[in-house]
Amino acid sequence: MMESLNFEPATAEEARDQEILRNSLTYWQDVWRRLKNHKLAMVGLFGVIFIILFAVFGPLFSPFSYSDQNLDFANTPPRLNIYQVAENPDYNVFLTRDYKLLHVSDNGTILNRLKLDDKDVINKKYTYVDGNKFVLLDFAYNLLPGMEAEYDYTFSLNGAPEISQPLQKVPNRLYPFGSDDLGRSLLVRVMFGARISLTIAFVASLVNLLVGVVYGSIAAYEGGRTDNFMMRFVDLLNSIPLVIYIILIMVLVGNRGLWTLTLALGSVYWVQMARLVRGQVLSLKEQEFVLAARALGVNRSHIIFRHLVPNAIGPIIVAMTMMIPSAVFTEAFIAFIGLGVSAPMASWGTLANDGLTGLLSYPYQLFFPSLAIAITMLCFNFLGDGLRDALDPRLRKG
Amino acid sequence: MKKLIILALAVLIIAPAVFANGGGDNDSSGSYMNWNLGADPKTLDPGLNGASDGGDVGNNTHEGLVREQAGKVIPGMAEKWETSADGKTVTFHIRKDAKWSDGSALTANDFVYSWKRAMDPATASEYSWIWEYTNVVGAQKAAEGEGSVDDAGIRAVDDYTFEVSLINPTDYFVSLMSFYHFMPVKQSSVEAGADGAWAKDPALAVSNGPFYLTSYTIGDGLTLTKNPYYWAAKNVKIDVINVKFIDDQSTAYTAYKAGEFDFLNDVPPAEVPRLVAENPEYYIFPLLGTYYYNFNMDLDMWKDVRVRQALTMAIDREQITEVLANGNVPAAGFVPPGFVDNKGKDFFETAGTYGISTDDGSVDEAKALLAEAGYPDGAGFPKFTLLYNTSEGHKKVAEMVQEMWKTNLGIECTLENQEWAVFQDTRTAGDFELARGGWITDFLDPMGLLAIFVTGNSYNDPNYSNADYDALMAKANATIGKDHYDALYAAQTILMTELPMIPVYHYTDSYLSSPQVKNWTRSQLGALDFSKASIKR
Amino acid sequence: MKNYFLRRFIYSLFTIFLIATVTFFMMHSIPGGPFTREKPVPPEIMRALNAKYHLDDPLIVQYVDYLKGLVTFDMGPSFSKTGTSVNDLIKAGFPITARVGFLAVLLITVLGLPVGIISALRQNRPIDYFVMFMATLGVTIPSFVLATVFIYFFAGKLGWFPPFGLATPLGYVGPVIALSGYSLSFVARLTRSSMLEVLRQDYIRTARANGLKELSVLGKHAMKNALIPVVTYLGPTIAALMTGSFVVERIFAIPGIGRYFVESVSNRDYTTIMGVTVLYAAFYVLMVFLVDVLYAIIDPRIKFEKESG
Repeated sequence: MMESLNFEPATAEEARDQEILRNSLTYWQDVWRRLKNHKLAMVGLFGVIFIILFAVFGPLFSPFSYSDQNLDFANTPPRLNIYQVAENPDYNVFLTRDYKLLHVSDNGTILNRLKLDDKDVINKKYTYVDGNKFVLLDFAYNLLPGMEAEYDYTFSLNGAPEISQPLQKVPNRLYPFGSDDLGRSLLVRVMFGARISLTIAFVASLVNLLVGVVYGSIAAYEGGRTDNFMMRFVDLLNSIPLVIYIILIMVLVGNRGLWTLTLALGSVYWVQMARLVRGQVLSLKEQEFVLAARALGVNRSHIIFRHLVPNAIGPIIVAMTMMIPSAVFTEAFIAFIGLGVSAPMASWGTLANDGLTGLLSYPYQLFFPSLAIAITMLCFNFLGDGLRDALDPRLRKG
Repeated sequence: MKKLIILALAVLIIAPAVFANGGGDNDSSGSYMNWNLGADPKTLDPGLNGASDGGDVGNNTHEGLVREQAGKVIPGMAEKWETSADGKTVTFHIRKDAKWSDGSALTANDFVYSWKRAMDPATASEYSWIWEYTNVVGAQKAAEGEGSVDDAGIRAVDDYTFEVSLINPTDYFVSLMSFYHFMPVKQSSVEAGADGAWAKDPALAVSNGPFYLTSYTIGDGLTLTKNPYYWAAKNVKIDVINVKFIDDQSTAYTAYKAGEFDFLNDVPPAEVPRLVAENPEYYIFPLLGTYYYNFNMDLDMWKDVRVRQALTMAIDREQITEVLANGNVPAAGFVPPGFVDNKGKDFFETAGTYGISTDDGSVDEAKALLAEAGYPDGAGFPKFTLLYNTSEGHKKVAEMVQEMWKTNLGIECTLENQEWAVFQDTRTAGDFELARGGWITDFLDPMGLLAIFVTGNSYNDPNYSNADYDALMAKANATIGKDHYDALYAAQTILMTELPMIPVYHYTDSYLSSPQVKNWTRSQLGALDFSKASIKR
Repeated sequence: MKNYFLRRFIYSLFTIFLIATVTFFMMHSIPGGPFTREKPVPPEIMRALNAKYHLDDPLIVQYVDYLKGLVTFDMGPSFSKTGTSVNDLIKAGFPITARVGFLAVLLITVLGLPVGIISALRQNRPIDYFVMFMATLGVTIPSFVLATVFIYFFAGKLGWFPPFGLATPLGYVGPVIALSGYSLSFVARLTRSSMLEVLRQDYIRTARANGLKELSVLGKHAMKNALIPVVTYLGPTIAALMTGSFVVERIFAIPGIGRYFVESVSNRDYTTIMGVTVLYAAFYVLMVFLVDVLYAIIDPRIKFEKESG
């Protein structure tokens, strides 16, 4: 305390610096300055940028499009457990969970599929043919009574001794995320899916911000009858069954791809935000600083958007980021009814939905789209946290 | 205080859950079977029923004049029957020991009552349209509200003789009698519980089959118990069947693997290829139906038959059925395997493939046809939309077909899915270019399938019209034996030359049944039959 | 204030009526009907079916009939369960749904709130990061994945829980987790953020500086004000949870009413659509009303009526 009394006059330069800082930093510049200093927020921001780049430019580096099928290579996982059935020259095979036998190179490139030549379902022996080679698969182990083994199946090429141990696990070069049930690259489909799902995330946030926040704050600030009417409309929108509403839009407007979907989602998605903002503003508007502003004759919109909303920014940002995933999954549901981009294009939500049916045998088909959603969410959350701190007027310096 | 209230509330709410019994579980004194039906049936009243889940239950609680097991017609309530020389009168002799599950006698009058009730528009049975195909005198008119049910050609000669008059001799009539719509219901029960409510109320649910209903919980499950009054009760080996309505296939499959079920109606489709290879408990049956795509024949783009042929031939049906992996048979005709013609041969086998290869063997021909039609390599072919109702399975098939047309013919099409009721509406209104179709028949005659493409038929979605075809179908309807089948073969030849639709594959039905369950059967029309089944634990 | 709440109550009834009306007409204007089938019913038979259920009456007559029923709490016969009334469906399913829903609400409040508060008090410490990470995962993983994975792993692989149904208390674990996962995360996150907000306020600093005990600072001052967004969110959420979820009830095979919200629409089961919609609307409107009452209790400064000035 004592030290602070030992003032030292500022140099002219220091004084000028202070002066400049104060005058040149607008609210948004200030926000940006503080955001830059927020490490996690920067991680989030770069994450979001990376995901967008991944969605836009990723597909350029792939030989496949999202719709290219190779039914022979369907349901291959991201890592292949290959068995070497011949040496010099090497001949490796991989068996899919649906009993397709694939010829795979040493480094994990799938070369071709062996034709299933003979099926002995009773004794659990399948024979596969590739030119003059034939591979006998014996998968009776652990399936037929009285047989128990450390391994589930063995291979033998042209009658050579049975191979029961895999050579190694190699990454799937052709399909780094594996392939789906129609032999399409899951990686490419996740990249394309990002385009839809990120659009939805963006739209949902924008609608929340533009409609939800404005609607809720006006209702609360105006109060009385206006509030009552506005909020009863929210109740109405909230309680009408979404499915009926979507079908109605589909019948009236028809399916015009992404924008009808946006329309459907955007028109109902803001109600929760409106309620949340209203609650905050109801409480804030009775606080001293608002009374002061009002007493000073500050106009209504200035009070709402300069004083009330910034003070409620914490819950707003949290709710906004937290509601993104539900928007992403709502999109999948709406697509199910028939609005939105049509197959074979698929959003993350739709990919996750499709992956779910094969969960028992092909968990990776659910894992990758889910992972994409989770990573995006984490990034949005980090960014949201930083934004909250940056936007909070009470933390404003300078 | 607040905490106390919450605690009290929690106890109140949880306690009943803890002490309530499991419901379905059994005291294991007799032999029991746990079966997942997959859905809570809309109704258990066979006269009102229109769905396979209700049919599966009905086939075990009720019994018609005959039973059909794997295509074989065996006596049911009728111990024998004869057809008059002109084929227009069928007389059924009801067995003397026929009884209801309450011990009362079942007579020919019960059939008269049940049939009149089923065809009466006041009953509003969804399946009353089937009377048209029974050829019973006056039945169609009665069902459509244009005649009285009393004028229908059915009568009880005496308590044990039931006589039916037909408009035309009808080969499949007797086998059709195994269908749930024609099963008897007891008048006193029906009148005590309106709109089929009786069939779900154990106090009222009197039936005449191997089992009767002893409990029913909305959305959860039901219990069937052996009917001691059933005429063949000594053959019924299972005392109790616990039925659950779990519609999530993964949940049901997990429960099956945990030993909670002995019998499943559905498994997750993605698991099917593994089940087929690994598990002898997985059973696949042909279902009498076909999966196809309708051309909208009113549109100019489909006017050229070569275009329709090209699209039909450019599909590799074997690859599609391999991906579906459920034992589906590639369709190169409209009539599925399972119908025996007048020579005792399978209609499907005899009809052949009409030059359409089931694998990719016809692709070159398809290309040539498309070029002839003026679209070499698909150049200049108008873009079109393939419409289907939302479902994982339909999407998969549509995606494969789309890709095959793109790579084999250079034709681009867009896929569009619609919620199913919207889809029905769009398709019926003819507001489509190419739309998915599926047809499963309810009686053992190819006519049930081919008839839908007759001019003006309500299921003729392509709006196909061909006078020769109509004439052949009319002829088939009026004849039996050789004439009947010759007309049908000729009709399918026209259909497959003109191709108002693209057949893709024939349906199958599949079940997962634990090895403990033995001797269960299934009718060719798809109803499960546990009347002779046994279970060993 | 009392007058205000009385008026609000009347408005609430009117809102329910409005929701019922809008839903009724929207539902009748979408394609399909209760007798739409994969294999369509021929027109003659359709006529008989429609006549039997008065679906051939003019829409306005059907509407008046419906309202008459609604006033006497008679929802009419279900179309997808012939012979069963919608009242019976709700009577059979609602207690089950509500039991699961109540446990979910309980879990959300007894776990979500404290976790959020602790996380705020330990801001930027490991526990905070852990909670935030879990919460993010919680909203990211949808209930259908959570439920399916739960059954596959905990019920199927490990056998710790029954794979379906509520026959034993253990059966509740999966459904309650799947049902509450999203809201639990949301509440924890929202509580944390509002707490942080409030803790920064001058009066908290003052209270602390005045030497008030930390617990009293938190309980009396911070908590109350932090509660507003949480209460706003919880109100409607409770209504949603108590009326069940289609996904959770379907996957865990719970015979509740949650599934009817989706199934009734795809079956075009008009009476059931109206039944569950009105039930939910009533619940929801009640909760929204209670939230406003709570506002007034939490923050007595909140006034709903316009000041005369």
